[in-house]
Amino acid sequence: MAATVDCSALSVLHVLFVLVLLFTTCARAQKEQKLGSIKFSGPDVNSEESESLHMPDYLKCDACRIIAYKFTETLEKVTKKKTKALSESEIIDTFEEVCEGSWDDYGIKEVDGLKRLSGPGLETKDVPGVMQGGGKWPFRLKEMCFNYVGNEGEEELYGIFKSKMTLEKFLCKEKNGPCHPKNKKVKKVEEEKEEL
Amino acid sequence: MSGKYWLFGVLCLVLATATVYADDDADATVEDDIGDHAEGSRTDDEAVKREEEAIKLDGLNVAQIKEMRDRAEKHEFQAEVSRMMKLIINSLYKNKEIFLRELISNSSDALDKIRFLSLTDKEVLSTNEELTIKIKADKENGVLHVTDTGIGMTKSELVNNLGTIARSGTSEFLNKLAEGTAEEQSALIGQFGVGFYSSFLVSDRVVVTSKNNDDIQHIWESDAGSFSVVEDPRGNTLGRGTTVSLHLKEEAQDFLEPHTIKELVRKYSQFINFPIYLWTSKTETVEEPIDDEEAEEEADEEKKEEEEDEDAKDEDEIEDEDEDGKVEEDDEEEEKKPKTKSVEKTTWDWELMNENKPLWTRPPKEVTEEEYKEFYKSFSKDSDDPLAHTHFVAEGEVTFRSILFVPKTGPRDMFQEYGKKVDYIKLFVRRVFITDDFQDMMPKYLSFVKGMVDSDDLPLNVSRETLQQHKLLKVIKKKLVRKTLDMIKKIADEDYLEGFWKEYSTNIKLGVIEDHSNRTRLAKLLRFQSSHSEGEVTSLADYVERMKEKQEAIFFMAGTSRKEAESSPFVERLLKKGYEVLYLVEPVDEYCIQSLPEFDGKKFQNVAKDGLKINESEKVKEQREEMEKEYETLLTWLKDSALKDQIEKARLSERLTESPCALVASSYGWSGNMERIMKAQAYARSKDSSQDFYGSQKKTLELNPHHPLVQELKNRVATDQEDQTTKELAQVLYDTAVLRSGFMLQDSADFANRIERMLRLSMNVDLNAKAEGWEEDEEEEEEGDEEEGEDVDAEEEEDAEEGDAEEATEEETGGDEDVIEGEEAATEEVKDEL
Repeated sequence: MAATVDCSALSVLHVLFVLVLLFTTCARAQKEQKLGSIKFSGPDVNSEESESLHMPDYLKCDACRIIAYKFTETLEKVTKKKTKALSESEIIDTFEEVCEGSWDDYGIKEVDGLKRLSGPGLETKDVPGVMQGGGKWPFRLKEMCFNYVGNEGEEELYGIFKSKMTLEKFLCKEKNGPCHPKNKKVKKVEEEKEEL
Repeated sequence: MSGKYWLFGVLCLVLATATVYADDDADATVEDDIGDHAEGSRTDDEAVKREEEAIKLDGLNVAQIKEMRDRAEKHEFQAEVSRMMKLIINSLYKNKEIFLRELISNSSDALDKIRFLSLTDKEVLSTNEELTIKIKADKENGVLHVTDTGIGMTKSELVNNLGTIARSGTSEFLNKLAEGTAEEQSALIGQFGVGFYSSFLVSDRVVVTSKNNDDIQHIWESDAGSFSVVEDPRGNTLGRGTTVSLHLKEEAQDFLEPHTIKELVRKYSQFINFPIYLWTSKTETVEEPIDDEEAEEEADEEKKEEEEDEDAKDEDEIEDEDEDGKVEEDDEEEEKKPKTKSVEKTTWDWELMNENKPLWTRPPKEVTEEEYKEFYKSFSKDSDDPLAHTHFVAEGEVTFRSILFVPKTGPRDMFQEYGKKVDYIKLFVRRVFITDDFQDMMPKYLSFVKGMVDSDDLPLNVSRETLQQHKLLKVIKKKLVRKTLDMIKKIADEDYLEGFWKEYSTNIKLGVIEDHSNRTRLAKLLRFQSSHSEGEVTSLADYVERMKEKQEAIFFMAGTSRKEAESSPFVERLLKKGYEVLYLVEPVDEYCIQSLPEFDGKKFQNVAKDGLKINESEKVKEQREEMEKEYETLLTWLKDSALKDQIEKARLSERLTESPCALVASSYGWSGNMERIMKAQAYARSKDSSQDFYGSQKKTLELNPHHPLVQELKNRVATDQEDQTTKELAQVLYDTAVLRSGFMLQDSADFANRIERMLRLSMNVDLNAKAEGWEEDEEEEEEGDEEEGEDVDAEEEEDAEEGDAEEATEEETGGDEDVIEGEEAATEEVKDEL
């Protein structure tokens, strides 16, 4: 388990997960917060978020975009050095590298009153707040990652990457994607508190 | 000694004639057969020899044989080998013919080995360039020779391979052999690599001559009782390889008939990847000029050559090493008529008996079902037909051909050995067999799949270890898995359930757990029992199809049996309302479902856990809300007083109709079924903190407000919250809920005591009445029986009574439980004694 810090790290707590506390000068005031105040507590984590083997529905859109970002980033890195198209084994290796790779930079964060995922590739990364990573998050992302690779196929995803469409659009925003308005779900922190 | 060879040289004369056998495989050039025995055996000398004691080594005279025998090292067979030979002979006597299949199969393995070695070291083939199997029947002497130019055996290999068997697996083999049907038995000996011993089914005596590159040529000889090994006095006649010479029993002489041999080869060995030749004769009448003088001259020359040649060939043993295979006998040799004349000519030649063009190189369309079956049986050594097969050519970065089969039955120890990497995929590179022990071609859960892969793009000359790292393997592996899943998906429904699912359901479930990227494909292969049908299992797709309009999740209930799941309190209301519930009755099922995020957009809901939502009408909802107010006191009392520390909370149930109450696990905690499974494993492992964490997680007690017992409890609590019997009732209700919900009771003795107390109450038995023990003289009788107290020694009982009376009262005042004195006394007493 590990975590990274967006701007600067203050302290790392090893409890059940690693909590990364960060506050920056570029801190933006959040709705309910007074300007300049710093929120130290991590997001309230419900049992699904802490225990479930799978990605909660309301975080699937974020998760999908993270995975699409990772695919794209790694494919760009791999293809930059090459003039020729990637071979089958290189494609398989690349996707495997992404899915098997580290997902420790990602975790859950409360952003604008919503439960969100945060980490490289998402705009939530730059929002000040406390991200809770580790725990089951890397496993869930890995699982989703393999699922996309298995269901769509490595070659097909590589084909999309080479085409004009982005992987994010293809995987997340199309009709069946979790970010499509029809499918998108959100979790408001306030509502959750009421439920409890 | 060499001087004595000349005699045999004359006998062995062979006329190398113009026709050289042409073979489509360049490596199978056939040379002169100097050792043609049909010619040689005519002589008086050999007749004399035959009259001597059984002399079986041709090329040697009586004295030599005697000398050789004297020098030979005598060995006894390892006890297991003797036992096994007896078993083989006893169990396969009706199926004698398989001996030839086994010998050819061994030859093929030996050839595979040398060809594999030659990939890295070309030199190894220099001792004999040819790679063939040759069969020769010597009717005169009743001997059948099977010769290969494989790797051959050194002296120690002869002793080890043909005198001992590896201890591991021996007893398993012997047991299986004793149990099996004739077909299974015949398949078994091949699987266990003991096919050679089937030679004794048809032979009195077996002679094996073998030459390995690392040793000189040796002769192994046995009559099934003991065996001997000796250096071959003839020197190196084979070049490299092995000849097995079977001195056939009287009743087995039929195996010398060419048509019998051809038939057997066609039946059992048509898929051997090396050419198999039979020494056959053709008789035809031809017009030919005969020049006797020339013939004589030739004969003389050869005679001289033979004299000089220390490596004189014998007629019987070594017919095929480096000789060409065309021999002619002129039936009218004696006649000295110089001109062209019509002669009856018998031509002896090596006749190719198998196609030896690998099946997988042929286009799938041209291969018949029957051929696939035969191919499967021959290479897998299985006696059953396969359940399914797929034959494909993959193209792309790596081109390969593959045939995969699903065997009818999986390996017996499939799951005991599950951690180990085992697979049954044979790897060929450019038609050359590389290994059948690659271990990484299939994921664990598909290790039962048998088949082969032949690729043109893998390097030939690297070690297996290097190959295992090869980047193309990942591509091959991925495609094999996809093709395998396709093949399984295509198995017709009835075959799928009866054949495949019965045998491999656990594999598929493990696959769902282990193989993230193929999870969606694997989920479609799952079948579970369901409330929809009594006897049949259902697929998830069919379940989803039948789902009610507003049903959000796929409901499932896990238990040890269908009956348990069906009669669980958790399914009562669902079934009543017409929802379909899947019954998960195998230990792996709940795991499997838990690792599926969803199926066709539908989540899974364990009905024994939190989170169950049943569509209720507004009317019912209103009623419930009212009731909740009514029951508030009871619910709070249960949580904070009667069942304090035992439950997370108490609430009214949506899922119960008949049962008074049930214990519901949290969404991500363990269900009763899971707890049972995990605890069973915990005993095998050392303490595991996650076990404790989940195991001790408190659950929610759900009450059925319509149940009279619950209603009565509510009424009692309303009047007196401190009443002992009310608390007792609550505790027993809780205990039964624990059991009904599939959990384990923390303290079963305590539970038993409570039940017994209630029995006493209901039957008007004095709560304090004790069980009388036997009147016994001996002291120190310790077998106090908790329930009946029969064996409690009177003396001891007295002692115990005093102390326990106090304890019992203590407990009565301090805790919720009543203690029945006598019983407690007995229990305590046993504890003390222990």
